Amino acid sequence: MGQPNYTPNDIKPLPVALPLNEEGLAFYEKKYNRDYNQWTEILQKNVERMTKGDLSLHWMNTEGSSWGKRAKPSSRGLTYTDVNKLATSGKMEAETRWMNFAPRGSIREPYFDVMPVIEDYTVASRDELWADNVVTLYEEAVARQWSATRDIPWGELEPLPEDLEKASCQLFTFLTEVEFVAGDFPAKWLYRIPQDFLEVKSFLATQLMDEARHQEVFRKRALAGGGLLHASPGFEWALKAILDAPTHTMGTFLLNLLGEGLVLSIFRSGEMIAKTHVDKEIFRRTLQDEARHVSYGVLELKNYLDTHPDREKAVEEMHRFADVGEQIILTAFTESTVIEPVSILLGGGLDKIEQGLEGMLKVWAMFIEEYLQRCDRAGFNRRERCKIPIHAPW
Amino acid sequence: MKVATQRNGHFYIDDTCIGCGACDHACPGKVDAVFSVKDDFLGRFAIVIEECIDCGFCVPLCPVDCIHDARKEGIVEGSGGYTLIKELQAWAESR
Repeated sequence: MGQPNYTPNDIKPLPVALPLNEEGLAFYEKKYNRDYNQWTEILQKNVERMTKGDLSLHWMNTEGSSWGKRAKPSSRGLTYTDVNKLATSGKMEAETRWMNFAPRGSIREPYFDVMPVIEDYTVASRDELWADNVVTLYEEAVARQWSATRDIPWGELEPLPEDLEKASCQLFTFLTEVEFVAGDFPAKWLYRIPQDFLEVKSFLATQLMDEARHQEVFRKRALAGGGLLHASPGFEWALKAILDAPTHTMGTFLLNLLGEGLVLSIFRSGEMIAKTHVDKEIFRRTLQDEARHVSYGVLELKNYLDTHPDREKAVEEMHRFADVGEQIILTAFTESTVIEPVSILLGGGLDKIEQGLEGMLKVWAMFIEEYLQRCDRAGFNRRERCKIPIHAPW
Repeated sequence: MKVATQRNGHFYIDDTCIGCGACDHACPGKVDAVFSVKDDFLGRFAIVIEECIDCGFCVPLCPVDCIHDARKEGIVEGSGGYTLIKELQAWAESR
């Protein structure tokens, strides 16, 4: 591909007194003025053609393409499903070699050797990120975006008794703390996924937007109710474990299938947890978003295991990862900063926390069973190995 | 969210739907049989049996296996973890 091979020795350290941005700029200049010379050849040809007054018009040549087939909309408009039926949309290969921005379906083969390579595109295998429902989930996500500023009736939020308000604000602090890992994780991987998997990249972009909105709505709710309360070390370790996951599939399992599944269980309980209709509206809207992320996680793991050339090995590796991940998620789920406020809200006050803990037992059981059901759906049986106790430890 | 007796299609969604909407955009062409149940807090979806053409495209997209073909399975209740919300709802109502 004509790319220069850099070694660490090529990068000469600049004097300490020199600002870092100058060092970076010098390295950039070196690369693009001296080593990446293919772009200057393209520029030179273009200038020569223009100087002569010639036209190229090579881009009107449709030989080798399926030009002429027109995409037709379905009942919901022109969806990715509609356009992907056409050969002109380009076939998604199991392994892509296109590590640049040349659109799938475009006439790009003649230019392969003179195009740059984005070194950070490392997830070249479709089956490390694909889920059969990712296209329709993307369409759904786009259709159901909402605004945390406009769509929540903030003006109708009435003050609660102090114990319930503090419990609400602690719960929303917890949710603020955990939500943005679900933005950072897809962001981390989005940049590693080549453009040929545009449907997955697009879905991950909606997940990022969803999580930005969730962080926003929970933060606003806490601040509208008195303020943010306590951050939690137990959550922090769980969130770090998600970001540090060694592969996209493993991290997606820990985030979407387990972590967001836990959060979805809380949102689904929102009718009982929320003490104001404003909070119910927040839970109602966020659970729809969260359900999409959980849904992608389940079928992504299923696809990964179903298509793996050595399924038994892949399953065992996932078990090893889940053995650790479940215990770290358990660390978060046992924090008093989530168990106690939810119990107070379920019970109806600090003086009714014992009753609330009975309700919390049911939330716990629901969370575990829902999680194990998702694993079953993905073809990943955790029932014998699950590290999270099926019954709450109280 | 149950199947009526007069219908064209035979697919239905049980009440363990989590509301992800993966099925909502699965209908082919001009068919649009899946809809979000109005005012349902859990955001569940249902199938308009008069609109459904039995293509079954939605079934493999569901993350919780809650879409069924009545011809093969009959009318079944949802099962598994996603039914446990009913126990929490019953507990809350009993207080």
